[in-house]
Amino acid sequence: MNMTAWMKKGWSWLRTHMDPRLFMMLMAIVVGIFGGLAAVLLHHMIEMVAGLFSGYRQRAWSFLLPAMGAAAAVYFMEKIVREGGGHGVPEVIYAVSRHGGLIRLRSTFSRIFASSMTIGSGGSAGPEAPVVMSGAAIGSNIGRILGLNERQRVVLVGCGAASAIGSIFNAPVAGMVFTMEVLLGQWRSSHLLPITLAAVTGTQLSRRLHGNQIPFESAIFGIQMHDTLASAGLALITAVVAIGLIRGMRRMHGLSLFLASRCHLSPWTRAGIGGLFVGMIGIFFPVVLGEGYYAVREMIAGEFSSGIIFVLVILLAKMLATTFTLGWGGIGGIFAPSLVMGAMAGLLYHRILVFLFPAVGWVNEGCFALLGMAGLLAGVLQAPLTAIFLIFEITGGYEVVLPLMVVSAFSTILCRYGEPHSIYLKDLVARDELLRPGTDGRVLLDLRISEVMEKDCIPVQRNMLLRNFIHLLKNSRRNYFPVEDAATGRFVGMVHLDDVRPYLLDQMLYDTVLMEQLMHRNVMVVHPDDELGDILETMDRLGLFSMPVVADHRFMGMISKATLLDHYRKELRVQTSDE
Amino acid sequence: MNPRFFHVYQDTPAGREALLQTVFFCRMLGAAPVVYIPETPRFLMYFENRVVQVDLDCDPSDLKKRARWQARASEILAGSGLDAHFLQIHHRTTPELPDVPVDFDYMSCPVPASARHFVYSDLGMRRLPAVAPFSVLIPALVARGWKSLAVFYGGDEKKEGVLAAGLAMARNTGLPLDVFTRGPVPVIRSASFKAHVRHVVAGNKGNDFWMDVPPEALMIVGASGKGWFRERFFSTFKKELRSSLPGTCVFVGPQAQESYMRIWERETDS
Repeated sequence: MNMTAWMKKGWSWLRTHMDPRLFMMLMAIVVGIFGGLAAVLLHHMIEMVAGLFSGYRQRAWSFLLPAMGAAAAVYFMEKIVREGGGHGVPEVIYAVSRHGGLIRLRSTFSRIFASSMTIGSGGSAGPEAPVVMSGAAIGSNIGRILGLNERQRVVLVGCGAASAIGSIFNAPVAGMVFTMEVLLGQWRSSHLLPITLAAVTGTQLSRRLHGNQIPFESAIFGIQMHDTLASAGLALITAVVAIGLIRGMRRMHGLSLFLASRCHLSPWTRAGIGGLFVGMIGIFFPVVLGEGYYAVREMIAGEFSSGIIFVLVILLAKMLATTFTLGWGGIGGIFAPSLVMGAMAGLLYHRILVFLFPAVGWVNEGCFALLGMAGLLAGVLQAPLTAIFLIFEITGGYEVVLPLMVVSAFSTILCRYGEPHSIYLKDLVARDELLRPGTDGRVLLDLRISEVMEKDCIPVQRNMLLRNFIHLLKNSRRNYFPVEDAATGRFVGMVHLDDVRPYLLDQMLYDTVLMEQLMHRNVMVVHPDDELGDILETMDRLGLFSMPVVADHRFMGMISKATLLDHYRKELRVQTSDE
Repeated sequence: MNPRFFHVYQDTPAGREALLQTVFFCRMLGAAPVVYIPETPRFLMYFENRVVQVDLDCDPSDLKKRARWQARASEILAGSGLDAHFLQIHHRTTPELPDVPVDFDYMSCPVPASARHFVYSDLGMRRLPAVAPFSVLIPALVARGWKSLAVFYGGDEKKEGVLAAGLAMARNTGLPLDVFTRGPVPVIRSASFKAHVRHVVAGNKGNDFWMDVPPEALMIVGASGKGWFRERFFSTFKKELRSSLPGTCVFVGPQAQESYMRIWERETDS
């Protein structure tokens, strides 16, 4: 027996003898390692690209760097890996909700390289969404290679994303919460344990390779009651900024697509133009370039010395730079810019408070910068728990947890008034592609027409006499009879038992009435490619209880509401069980 | 239900030739063509355990151009007496990335005009047959009708699926089948299958083996779905065949072979 055969045998033994939960935990560790490595690689890549460009930052033409980076990133995505743009999180959510977490192999690395070019050259974007995509793709492809089923693959997709987020932020809890809250949209203990383990593995690996660094060190603030109450007001500001950012991104994307189609611009030229605008903004406000974390550190430390108007202007400039980077097709995420803008919003709010109420002993402005970060993130992602745990973990301070909860919760609620869906879900919802497990659409998606179709209908020919039909009726349990053309076999109509009833008692008609005289010709039919959701909608609209399935003019079977409901219940049970 | 043949139409001379070959194939097997007019330069096909991206040479950039492509495809199909059914996309992974359904019986693989990409040039040709439950038609550069079928059988029990595919197609089309094998001569017990076998050619590698293949034969070849590295850097039967014979091929992957094997076993048992 050769090595491959031994390995196959060992694998098969492991699959059959190992407890499934324990097996998933083992797989979670494997995915966690690769997810963590992807995050570390991205981190190094960004540093490397930034280092490469740093020598040219003082040159007169340095404003062209973001354009070059964005164009190169999109060229890489379009021509080298042939994947297309976008930050990838909606793609992961789509894969989880519709295709059991199937993601292309190339996604495991593509966005790591592309986003490092965008961010390293000065584009206003973050590395988190691309690394989520990479981690999720790693999980998906490990699941595929190992031949896991759909449910297990989805868990591994979550494991990959959680480990990547945990690793890049050094925040395992935030990674786990983000995955459950944003990506999977459900909290199940069967998912929670492997995802937690993957997040821990990824983070631990990153700590080993990178050191255990807290991204934003916070001081002891000494928060009082009035600070906590005031944080509710900050939620209003962060909600407004979040709504502005979501809408700005969408409008800018629409504008860029419109101009690109009018001027026949290639995707990389489009991204390059966006990058050019970012470079020009960067001439006046260098703080908007790149991730912008160094500015956040200054704000948290209370060392950001600009005045109210200047903070407002750089907040708007950062928003504009982000919409130009991502809205024009640059590769990167919205996470980091949201944190930066949130910190700016917090700072702005603190300065307004101090200006309006100078006699009150307000907490240090760094605390409000932290709260602003949580508020904006909660609003943009519509994920308050992710925001709370992320800020809590990346600052290493438990002290701010109360106002953090207030601002995150209020910001999420207020943001929903303006934008009912998060930046990740907005597009999916608009395309009607978001299907969370256990929802009506998701249950129907897993049912196939061929599964629910009843095939025991007896077709009759259009020239069949009523006498023959009555004879056939004795052996049938159905009320519907498809009528076919004898010569071509084509479906021509339907006969319902009710149509025959008036003729049953008159034996004189038995040898004179033909089926084509009784049949309904304009019958609403279903095609095997139709979606069950649409079929049910048609049935409800027309008050039908069953419909014939016809393909290539041939009768295939019947679909009835009763059978559909039966299958629906079974599927719902499968989807909502925690096994 | 008639078998369904999925075709991606590209409005180029090569695309027209490919559609003509689809037409021949559909008429031969009584299949119903389902034509997709691409909206973007790539699309995804989600199979049970894998997602495959298909890259195209060109795509119509606007609605007017798409309508023109559709009209041309309809004209070609109508000229052959086939109904034109155009695929409507219901779902998209991203707005620029349509998901194409996979429940077809055959598909014509859009073969790029030239190998312009080191990694992804022949991915579609390799991956589609490897994971698809359907057989994949690889069109030749020039369309012409087929007068016989030629199946390449490895002589291995594991590869009987491709033989079963050839026999099933021969029976359904009524065309004579030549079996080419480099291993032992296969034993065909089912009388209904056996009647369609014209010649069994056992040979070795080399020019003579390829020269025995009739020029107007549709070639049926097994596709193992071996990895990219092996296909790219090592000699495979598929590569040898593609470089030696310019005709149209049908690649029958492992999953499609399984379904043909079920037919074969049913027939043999009966």
